[in-house]
Amino acid sequence: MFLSEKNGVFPLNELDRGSAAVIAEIKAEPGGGRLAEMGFVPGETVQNGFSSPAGDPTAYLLGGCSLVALRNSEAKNILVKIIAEQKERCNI
Amino acid sequence: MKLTSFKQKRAAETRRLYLLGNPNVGKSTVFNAMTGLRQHTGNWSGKTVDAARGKYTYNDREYELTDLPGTHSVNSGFSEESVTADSIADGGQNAVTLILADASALKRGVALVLEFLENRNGGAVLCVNFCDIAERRGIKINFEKLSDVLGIPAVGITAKKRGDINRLKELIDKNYDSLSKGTAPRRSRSAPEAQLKRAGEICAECSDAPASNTACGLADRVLTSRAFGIPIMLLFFAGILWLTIEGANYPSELLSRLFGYIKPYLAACVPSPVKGILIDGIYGTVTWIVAVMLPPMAIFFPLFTLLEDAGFLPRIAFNLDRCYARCGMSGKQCLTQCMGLGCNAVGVCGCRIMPDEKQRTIAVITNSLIPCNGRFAILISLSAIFIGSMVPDHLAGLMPMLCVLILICLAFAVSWGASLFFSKTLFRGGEAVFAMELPEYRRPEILKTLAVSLITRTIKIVWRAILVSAPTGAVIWLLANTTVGGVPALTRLSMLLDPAGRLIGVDGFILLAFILSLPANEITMPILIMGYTAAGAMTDAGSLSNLSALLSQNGWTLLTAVNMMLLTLFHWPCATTLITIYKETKSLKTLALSFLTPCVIGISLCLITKLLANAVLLIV
Repeated sequence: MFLSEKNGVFPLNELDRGSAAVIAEIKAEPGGGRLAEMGFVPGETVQNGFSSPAGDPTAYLLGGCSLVALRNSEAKNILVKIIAEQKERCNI
Repeated sequence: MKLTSFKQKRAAETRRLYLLGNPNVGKSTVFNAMTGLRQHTGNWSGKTVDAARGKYTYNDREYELTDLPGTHSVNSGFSEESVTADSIADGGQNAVTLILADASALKRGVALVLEFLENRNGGAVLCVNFCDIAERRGIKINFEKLSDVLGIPAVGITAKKRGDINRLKELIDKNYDSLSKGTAPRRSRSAPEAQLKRAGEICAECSDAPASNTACGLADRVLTSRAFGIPIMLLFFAGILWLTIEGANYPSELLSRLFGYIKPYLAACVPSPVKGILIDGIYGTVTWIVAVMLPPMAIFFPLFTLLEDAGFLPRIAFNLDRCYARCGMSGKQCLTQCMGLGCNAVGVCGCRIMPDEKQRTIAVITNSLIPCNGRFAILISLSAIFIGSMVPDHLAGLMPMLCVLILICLAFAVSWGASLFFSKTLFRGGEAVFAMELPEYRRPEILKTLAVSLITRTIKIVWRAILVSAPTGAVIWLLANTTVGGVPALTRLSMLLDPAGRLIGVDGFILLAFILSLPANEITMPILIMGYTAAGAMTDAGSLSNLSALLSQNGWTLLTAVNMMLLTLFHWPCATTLITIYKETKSLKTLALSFLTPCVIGISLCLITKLLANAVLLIV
């Protein structure tokens, strides 16, 4: 899978199914802080959960506790980096 | 006088509480449990679009509880107009905010508490819900420690348990005075990142959780998979429809027989001058509605509510989002349509969850393309009576179900088409997004759901239909029994409409029935029956089995039945929905478009089927 990787940072929509990453940065988005309101803030862990039958949108497991569905067009505004060692998981 | 002043004093002493929490932490359930109100709860975020208010008394003190819409951020939760107005009135003090969190997602709740303490005046109580589920997952929370670290009272509850709600009320009662004094925001605002990190630390300190996670279950992987996702959804829906049609059949027949049996006894008690209007007019219409509308609704809506409570509807929106994306809309429109399936007026209100103004307007306009339960019952009874009687017996149960399923799919397809049309023409611009929380599946409380759904939805809607239908029944009876030039007035009116009706493959009576049923869709069929019987074809159409014969006698063909169903799906919204649309949008343009869109679509579709039927006849 091609990743538009730069300093290990890439858009969330390129995260493989099942793998986890940490949010590095939220790019400016048209909704204005709406993603942050849903819980997408830098430092939060995010895991690609599953996709809809059409492949888009995708549901992401956010912080290990809530499941949020995003379209690829929205997910590309979220930049993530792969967690260094083991898959960090938060259950709380 | 004394009583008034006492009441005033009481009112002045009313203690105010706000209920704040992340989406889907059971706020509505806690609200209902505390106040005894029956606000409808749904397992999806955005269900509570209005700030609801309720009162309760504890320890002889009155509390007013305001339920705020679910949010991940304190500031957006308090941005609702109604709430801000309140907060300004008393300087944001003298109120306590009850922050609700999900025990399985404690970090989120703690982050919300931290944000609250940094930004708001007044005190807060942390209430952690769904402790039973968390316990089953092996999550242990030390509430005393949590309370110490956060500096506010904290309690763990299971909202379903009455004792837990009392414990919560007691805690609030004990701490209200000290909390409501109003303290200045504690610290300067910190970045959400730091807040989240701190929340994580606090949780690690105060709770103990196993290292596995359950949020991404097998159920989701199957229900949203490429191969099974959509077929499973259709099967579910078909199953519900089948249960409804099969299950409603018998009670319907029983009820109509019972009403038919009572009728002569009742008629004997009524003086003869008003016998016609009371018995044939009002009694006939009302009993028809009860016999034909009540059984399918009493089966369909509780079943649908179960799916809703289990958390299934957001998955439907998730699976179908691609269709909405193509139409320039958000998948959330699917939720408003599902609400519309219950009542279009409710669906129109629900359009507030749409992310922007353009999408909201389109969702409002296209909502009445989805059949509400009044029209739904017409579809079910027509397909059971007419389509069911046209096929061999062993298919009699299956065909009506397929027929209704196809019609519902058609309704959704047409609403996508209309949304696409509007987003490409009249309401352009804006990027459609779909950011929605998918709640965890929760086992619904089956008995309670069934009971509440039966009372709050079915009985209420049938009652409204009865209230509207009784006077309308009387008016229609008068029209049917007042002769103008030897012909009943109703027949005369329908003769006027007949050419227009014939043009689109129905007749004047059907058009008249749709026009006269503007107050409520439920009364379309009774009006139609009364019109036909006034024309002298039959004297008693009370029983369901006679209806098929009555319709055939009046020249109904397969084309008439199909077009009647198409018109049922697409004609115009009922008066209640129209009023709601105007109240919600304050726009005459939206109102006019909401009226005309289904109208134009319905007439066009009927013209097409008429042409097709003619073509088939020519070939044969």
